[in-house]
Amino acid sequence: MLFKFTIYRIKMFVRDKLALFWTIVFPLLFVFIFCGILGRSGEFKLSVALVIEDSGPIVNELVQGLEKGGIFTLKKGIDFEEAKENVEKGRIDAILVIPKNFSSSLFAGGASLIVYYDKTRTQNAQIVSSVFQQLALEISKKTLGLKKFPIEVNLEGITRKRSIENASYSAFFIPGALTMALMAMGLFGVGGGIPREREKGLLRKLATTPLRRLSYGLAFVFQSAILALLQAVIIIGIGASVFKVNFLIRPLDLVIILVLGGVTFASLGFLIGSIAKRSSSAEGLVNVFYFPMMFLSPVFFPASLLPPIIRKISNILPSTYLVGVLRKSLIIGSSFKQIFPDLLGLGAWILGTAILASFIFRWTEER
Amino acid sequence: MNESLVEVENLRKSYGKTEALKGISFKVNKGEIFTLIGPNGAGKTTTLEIIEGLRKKDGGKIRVFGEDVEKGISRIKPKIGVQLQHGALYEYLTVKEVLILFASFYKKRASIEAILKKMALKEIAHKWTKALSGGQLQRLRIATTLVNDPELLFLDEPTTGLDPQSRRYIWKMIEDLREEGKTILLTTHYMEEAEKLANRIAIIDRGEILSIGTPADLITKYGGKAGMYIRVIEKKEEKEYRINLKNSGAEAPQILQEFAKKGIEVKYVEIKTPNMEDVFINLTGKELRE
Repeated sequence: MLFKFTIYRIKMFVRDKLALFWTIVFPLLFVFIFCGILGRSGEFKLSVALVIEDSGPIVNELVQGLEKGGIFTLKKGIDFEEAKENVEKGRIDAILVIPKNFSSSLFAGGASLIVYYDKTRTQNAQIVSSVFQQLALEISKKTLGLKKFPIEVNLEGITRKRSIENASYSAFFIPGALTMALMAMGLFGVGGGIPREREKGLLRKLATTPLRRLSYGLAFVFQSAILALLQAVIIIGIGASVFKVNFLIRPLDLVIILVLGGVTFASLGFLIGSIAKRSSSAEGLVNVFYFPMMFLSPVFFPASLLPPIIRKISNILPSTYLVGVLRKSLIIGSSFKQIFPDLLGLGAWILGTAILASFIFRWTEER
Repeated sequence: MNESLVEVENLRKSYGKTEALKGISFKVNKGEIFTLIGPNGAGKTTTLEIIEGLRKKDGGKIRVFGEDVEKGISRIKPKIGVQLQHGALYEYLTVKEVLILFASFYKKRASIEAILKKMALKEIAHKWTKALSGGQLQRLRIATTLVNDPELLFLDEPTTGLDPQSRRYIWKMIEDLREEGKTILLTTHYMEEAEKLANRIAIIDRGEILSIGTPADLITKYGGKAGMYIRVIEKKEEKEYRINLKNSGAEAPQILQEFAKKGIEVKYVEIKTPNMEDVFINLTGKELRE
């Protein structure tokens, strides 16, 4: 009975346009608005650090050419170590090094230079090197009267040190949007759904069948857990494809996080749905949880922006645990051991709300 | 002695200060359609919901299949089918899916195809319940009570709010269910429905059962006498006579002959036999409100 009920719950959910809107479309709207404005995907101007170790007219001409071209945001007067650190932190996309002896070896017949790039973005390296080659070719024709410019461009990757602070806004916000989506599923879907079923008389009808209360609750829990995976595929997928966020996907960890997250909010929703006897009062109660969780948890902005007292409240919210663990896993690629404490936090919420709900839930007012 | 599937003894229930049931007693025998009839607020639904285990009683005894309802509800549930007076079904499931879902709650399951056919739902089996008409939805609601092939059915006002055609359709289906051997406890506030379907009727008003019996018994006992209504032309003037009959109409020809002998021309004759409506009025002193 539980299997069938879960399958049918998912069917009902997918057929209900309003439910799809709140749990998938609405969070996606936020993704498009926030990542579109605050994410960097709109402008396509790579930042490139120029490390110039040589001098001479050719070098000057190259630098001038790059400046005139306006394709890159150039950073000059920076040494290599500093530039590398910036790439590691994701602040600069590439480094162009013009090595010592560049001019002399050029006249000797063949020079080389190195483009260092952020390994997670190979396409950037190709853009930098091809722009540079194009420019070099023009200069060589004009200044040196050569048909070929004997420069070899070597590419070398730098591993970006991943951290949440250094992540792009899109990378930061998409786990937040996913958290919003799971919250909506549990709170609006389950928390609002139970009182609606109560008002329609469905709970009375179910009470006359051998269906157990536990099975009724578990069907919601399983529905939320399974749909959480679907929500994640869509939202992370759009983050990766439209906003070019490079997430680290550890499939098994991600599934565990999503299932626990889905169950956390389903269980909280079930508690709300057990307390609220009418859908009007459920709506109020849902909002009492939904909006504070959305704004007190670091869904949109880092927790450091919150006043210290509020941060204390924020730290124990289930939404804070979920968004935190999602970011750790997706952005930094933390190991299971590292995310385990956050999962425990979610587990504690599940346990607490489920136990309370099991005492409070009634099919009817009298039974 | 008939086997009783439901035994209610001195059942009492209050909502706050309002006494909804003032100690009612009745039995439902195997294979019969037992009808509780009474106006809205008489206590019909409360009675049913206490028997179904949805409400708590304040006093009295209830046994279903010989089991105490409070203690044995989990053993009773698999063997009953309940159609509540109000209530929607899952609007984003199809007719067939609703039946499959409800069937999945039981160990013993009836054939869904057979139920669809029996309740004339086959053609709309793949429609969302959201899109059903009132009559179709009501048939589906009754159909959900059959998924476990129950021995005992509770139908709470199964035709309220339906058009006459849908109502007759459902009557036929309920009669068929009795033919299959199901025992049915039904409530209604339509006298016609009770007369048509019930083997036995309990008249309930203000939380009390006023009388129980077969429709014929009740009419004989409480229906009053048959009446004859005659319109005649007497001395070129139209006149009306109302005559009480003693033998439920057998003496009517004699009365007409007497008019003929006196040379009075009879224009119109109507014999009105008592029905459940009269029984109700005579027992409660009021008409059955709809």
